[in-house]
Amino acid sequence: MRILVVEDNELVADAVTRGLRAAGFAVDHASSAEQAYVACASAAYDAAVIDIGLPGDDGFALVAHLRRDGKLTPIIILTARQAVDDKLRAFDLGADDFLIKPFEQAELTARCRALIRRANLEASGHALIGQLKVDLYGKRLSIDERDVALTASEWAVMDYLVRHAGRIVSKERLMEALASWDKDITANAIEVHISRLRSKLGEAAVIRSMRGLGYRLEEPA
Amino acid sequence: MKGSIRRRLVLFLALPLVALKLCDTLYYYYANVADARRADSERLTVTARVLAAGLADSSGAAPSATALRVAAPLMADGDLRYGIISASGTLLGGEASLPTLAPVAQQNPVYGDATIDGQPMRLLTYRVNSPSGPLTINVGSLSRSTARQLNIPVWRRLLWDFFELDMSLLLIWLGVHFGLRPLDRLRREIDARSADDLNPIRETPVPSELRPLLQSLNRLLDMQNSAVRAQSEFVANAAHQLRTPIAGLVAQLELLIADNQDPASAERLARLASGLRQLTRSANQLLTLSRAESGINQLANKVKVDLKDLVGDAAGRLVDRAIGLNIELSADAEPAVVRADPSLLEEMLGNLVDNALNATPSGGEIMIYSGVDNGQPFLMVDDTGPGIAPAERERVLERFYRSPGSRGTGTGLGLAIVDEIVRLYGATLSIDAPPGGRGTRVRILWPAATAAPRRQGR
Repeated sequence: MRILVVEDNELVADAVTRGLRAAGFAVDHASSAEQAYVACASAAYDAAVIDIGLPGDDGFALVAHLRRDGKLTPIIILTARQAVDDKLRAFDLGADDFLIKPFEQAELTARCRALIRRANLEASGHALIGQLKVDLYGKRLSIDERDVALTASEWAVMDYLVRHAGRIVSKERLMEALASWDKDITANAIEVHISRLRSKLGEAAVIRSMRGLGYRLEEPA
Repeated sequence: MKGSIRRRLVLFLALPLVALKLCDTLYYYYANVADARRADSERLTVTARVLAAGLADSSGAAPSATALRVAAPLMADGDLRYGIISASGTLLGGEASLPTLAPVAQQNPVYGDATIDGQPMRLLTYRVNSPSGPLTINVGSLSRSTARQLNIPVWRRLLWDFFELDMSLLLIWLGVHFGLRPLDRLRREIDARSADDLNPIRETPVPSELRPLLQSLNRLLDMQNSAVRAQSEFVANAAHQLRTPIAGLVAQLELLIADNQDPASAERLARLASGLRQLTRSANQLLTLSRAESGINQLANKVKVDLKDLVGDAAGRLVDRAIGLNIELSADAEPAVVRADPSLLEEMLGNLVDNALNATPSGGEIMIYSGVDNGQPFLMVDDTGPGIAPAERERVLERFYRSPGSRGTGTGLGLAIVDEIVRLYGATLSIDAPPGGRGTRVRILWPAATAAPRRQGR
């Protein structure tokens, strides 16, 4: 996995680069948008971490430029500014995530992983969550090479949870996701599906339920 | 200058008008009285002269018979009375009840007024020389010039005057009311603006008298606007200047801790990290506070925010910390839409849940609520911590105040920030205990008018 870090502050750039390397990524560093254009032209990146406040072309211009060139690389914006417009503008231009400085290294690493996982999931349909191997397009779920059989509506729930792995998914969203399978789905039915899924997943992955909030698919602790 | 222009206008127009009308009425009244007196006097004079002429014709013989003959047609009017008295004082004809008025030099006849038998009378005394010697002719008639007797037309006129006066006052009031309409329009327009709207007020539909005032107001708004912008710019820059190096330090230190093999320096590094976290928090909170204070966010960043989504997002961000602390984080979130800067609301709810996480012991619970109560959107966080004593509840909102016995890392700014944001949006914050009595309940209640219609979808 190759990540491009575009950050002009030495201290931040150095730490981010080292941290991501320590997490197992290959990292290139650019300290301006111009350097980043060159880097992107010569290598394919799985993700890019871009600071907004760059000398010369700023981070917004860089994101816009990359998207104009048809690059689909997932982009995380780093910023010290907290204005709502900045966030909206970054998403409008095609950024995928937004992190405000100062941030924890672990948070950045986790978000990079999540973005790459989501990009891969969209491209190939494959995901690895704990000991769980999921092939969304082939509709296959396996734990330690052993296939687990799911009903159609269980699949709909699982599909949604996998696509949003690590994030809280509300019951309402799950009900909407299942509406195409079963129009009169009830909140109780969701609970039944979740409890069946839990027993089928065993120790391989955790579906945490949070009262009033929803469910979250997690790797086991 | 106090008071309303409307009242001043009405007063300045109506008071002179009332005074004028009053003078007019008085003049009319006295003119009428004078006319009536003159008419009375004339009638008496004519009567007296006719009597005198009749008495002169009779050559002084039997004046009583002559007087009777002459007076009869005159008396047909009914209210006329007369008396003819000889020089020796004997009544020659008519009534004795009419008094003889004292002679006045150069005046003959003499006029006067008296009340006889409870009736106001106009009196006349005419002294003549007849063939039978000097005679005194007294004539009297009911006075028509007294208020009681004064004829109806005067009263009718007075009534009409007052009606006219009322109508004039009404017309003045209406005129002032309609004339001042542009003022009302302007007031309504300014009223309708939200308190944070610093855009200039429209100048076109305003009368020329108001335009200078409006222009001054707009200049002031413009100055305020640029001051707010300047501060917004400053805060943004300060944020950048502070956050970037802090981010570098945090990240570097994390790496150092991860790489560190030496147990002796591990503890020092951990302390450094904790100090740095505290610095980060303080910097973040001060920046947020100054952002909330300057009201920058009110300018451009106000959008519709569903408190339910806000609760979901906050829970998503903080659930890992809650899990790490073995605290059950749950929610009962109903949709409630308010207009605000979402990043400030995030900060606000984040601070509340953060406080709750710090206060709640392992195994405890935190519950976040949102919804609409009697048309008022609310946000509420309950925890099962030790709670805040009633005496402390006011003080915890003060900046840098920390309750006795509070844990080490707090800056004392968290609730001050919450309070600042709450006030920025005209909401109210209350602190008490949840129904069970144990723990803390912080509730933020928006005014009813802020409840925006719920967004479609989602």
